[in-house]
Amino acid sequence: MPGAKPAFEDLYCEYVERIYAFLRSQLGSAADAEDVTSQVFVKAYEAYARYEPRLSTPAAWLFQIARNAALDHYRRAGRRSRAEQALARQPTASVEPDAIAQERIVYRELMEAVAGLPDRQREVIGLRHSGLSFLEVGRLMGSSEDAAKMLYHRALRALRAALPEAAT
Amino acid sequence: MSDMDDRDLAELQAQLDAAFQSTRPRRGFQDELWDRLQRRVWWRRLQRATASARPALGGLAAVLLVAFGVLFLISRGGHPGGGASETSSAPTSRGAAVQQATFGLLPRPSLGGEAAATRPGASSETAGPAVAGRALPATAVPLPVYRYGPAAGLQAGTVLDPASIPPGLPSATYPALSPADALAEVQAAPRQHVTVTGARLVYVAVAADGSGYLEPEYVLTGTTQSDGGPQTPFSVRVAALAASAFR
Repeated sequence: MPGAKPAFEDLYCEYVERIYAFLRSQLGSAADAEDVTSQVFVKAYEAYARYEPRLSTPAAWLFQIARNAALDHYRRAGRRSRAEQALARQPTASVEPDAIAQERIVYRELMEAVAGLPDRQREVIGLRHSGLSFLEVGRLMGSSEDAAKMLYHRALRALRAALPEAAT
Repeated sequence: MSDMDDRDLAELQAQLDAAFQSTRPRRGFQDELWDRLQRRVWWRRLQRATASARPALGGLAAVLLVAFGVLFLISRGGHPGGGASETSSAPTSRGAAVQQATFGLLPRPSLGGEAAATRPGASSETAGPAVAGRALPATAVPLPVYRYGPAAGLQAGTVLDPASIPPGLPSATYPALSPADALAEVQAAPRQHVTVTGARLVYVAVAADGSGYLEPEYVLTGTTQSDGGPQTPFSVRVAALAASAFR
């Protein structure tokens, strides 16, 4: 629930990994997720004086910035098709052994499958599994809590269908 | 929905939870981003402040010169350390206070607590002129200090752009002067009209007791004019850290 305004440093420590994981699920590439995570926290830092805790939780506020940043990223890359982007990710990942080592390989396929979902399904999975309530997810996505739940369950089924048999 | 469906979806949800909880950035990313964040935000503030100060400073330089001179003299009289009481409120971050213990009190840069000024084309350093800084922000943001060893190959006095700092150096955050406070640290010179046209952050290598530190300083540039004479460009380097950061 909205409450006191924490120090930005505390907010950063608490959320930087969650924001990164959310963006990793939205963008599909570790390098892109790092870049956009940086952009998110730069924007958040500059806007923190204007953040009103009584209007939204820190998580909702930060994930709104992250969601917008992910959408901007997709808009900038709009000339490439999603399939082309997915292909482009492969060589990028192969030259980042350090980043790969930090990720759990077993879950990489799952996160990339999330990244391949249609926009709203990808977002609802990402936001929900980043720890937001359905109420918060609905608010961020401009829908009701019930609509967010329904969208989430549709997204789960779409994700299961998109995964190879061995992954589920 | 069948029981099989429910079990499959519950299993998938559990996998997603585990995947999100175990997906983490590479080691070091969090610290690098925090450092970069502070540098970028600080640099933008300086750029904005400089841009907004440029038109205003010209007309107000003469008036503010007198005000700064008076304030400087008062602060020198009241606090021999020069503004330490003002800057002691600078560390607003809990992390800054905690991390300050990491490196302890720092050696002072070779400026010796005074501003160093160099004029392009001149070979010797001169006392810094008084400057007008009305539009510069008065809010202090803690700045990182980096510790380096012999392997870094840095000689004391080396000046680096923040982007040129060797990666991977250990860092600690220290309370810094606001740009306005930093400007107040520059010594006044009578009968000089001064206009600040640029400000940037640099890091200067300072060595003491077998350790080396990259300490932040501001480089302020502009022009001075004495008694209706020609305008002379200047470049002044001022310590960016609060006095409480130094031994």
